[in-house]
Amino acid sequence: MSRTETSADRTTVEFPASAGYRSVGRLVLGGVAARVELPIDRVDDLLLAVDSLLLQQPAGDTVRLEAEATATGLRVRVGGFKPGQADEPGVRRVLARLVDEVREERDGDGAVVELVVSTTKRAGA
Amino acid sequence: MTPASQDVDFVALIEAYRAGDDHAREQLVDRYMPLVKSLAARYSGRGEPQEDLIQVGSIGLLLAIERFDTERQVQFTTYAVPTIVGEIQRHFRDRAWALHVPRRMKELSVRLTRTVQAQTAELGRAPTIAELAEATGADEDEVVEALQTSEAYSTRSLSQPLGHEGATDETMQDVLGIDDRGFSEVEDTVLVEAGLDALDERERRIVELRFFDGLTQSEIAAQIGISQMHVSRLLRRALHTMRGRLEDAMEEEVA
Repeated sequence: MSRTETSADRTTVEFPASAGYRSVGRLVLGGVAARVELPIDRVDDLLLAVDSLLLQQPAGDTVRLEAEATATGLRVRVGGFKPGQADEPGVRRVLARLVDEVREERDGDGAVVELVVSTTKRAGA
Repeated sequence: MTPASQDVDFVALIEAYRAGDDHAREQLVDRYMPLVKSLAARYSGRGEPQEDLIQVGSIGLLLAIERFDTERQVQFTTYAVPTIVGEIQRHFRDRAWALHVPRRMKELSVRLTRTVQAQTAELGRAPTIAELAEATGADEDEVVEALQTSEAYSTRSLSQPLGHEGATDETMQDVLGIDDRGFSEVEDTVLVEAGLDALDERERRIVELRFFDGLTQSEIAAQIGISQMHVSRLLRRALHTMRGRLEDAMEEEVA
């Protein structure tokens, strides 16, 4: 089952890494994206980026997805990775072309990937 | 079993394909198409046209050909069967989701497709979710849900025509700025081109416009005469295919 926590501008949801639950993540991201003035093709690029990341997680693992509406856009953190798991070169290259900023951080024994989409930049720029 | 016990002709075809001989891949596909048809037949009578199942299974076969390591201690069919079955099962999962979409959401999805096209033309960019909500009279949550519904139809669009293609004045090098970005960007470009080889012509065109020419999904939609949502579906499918090829390319680079 998925679990959701929400604050004023930030929503966090945890769900199993499986195809059936990826739609949960997309709905959450879409809902938070509605709070910022992002054109839908930029939202879709972000969803593509998150999908690419989620495919890196083995079935049965738990995904932690945090979406935050900021003054300048949207910040998404995808956690639950083992170190290096999200740093697969093919994925990294795709992410770099879909969102404005990508960074990976250690989170305890695991890793979190942060994606940033800015309302001030155009898609594809 | 040792790698040497692999069918010698099969290994030769795989190696020829990976050396750039597309005809060798066609021969491999022809050779294993009976396997795809046999696996698709297991899923007949479940409400999906047999031809669609064979088409989806063929995608699994292509993925297996792309990813199979001839040094592995298994026969190709042992590797290919779960890949092909996985694609067929995924097709059923997607269809099940699509079939359970409420009618109200399907209707809103159709209206959104038209509204996105009209507003993109009017605004010169893709609309926001708030703008779509205002234009359709739906609330924002409904718009988000209906856009998700559109995504649920992605497997239905596999055989839809793309429409006519336009032209762009920009070249790949103009936009990539290879000279300014150094070796790592050039290296990236080589790898991405390896991924592009795994796509058909229609998918390759859209990926090039999005990732090399830097066009937005809406701009691509306008240029080639399809909806932004359709561009989204095709991009998603192309990235899935490219991902497998890029992984192989990186493994070869490391080796």
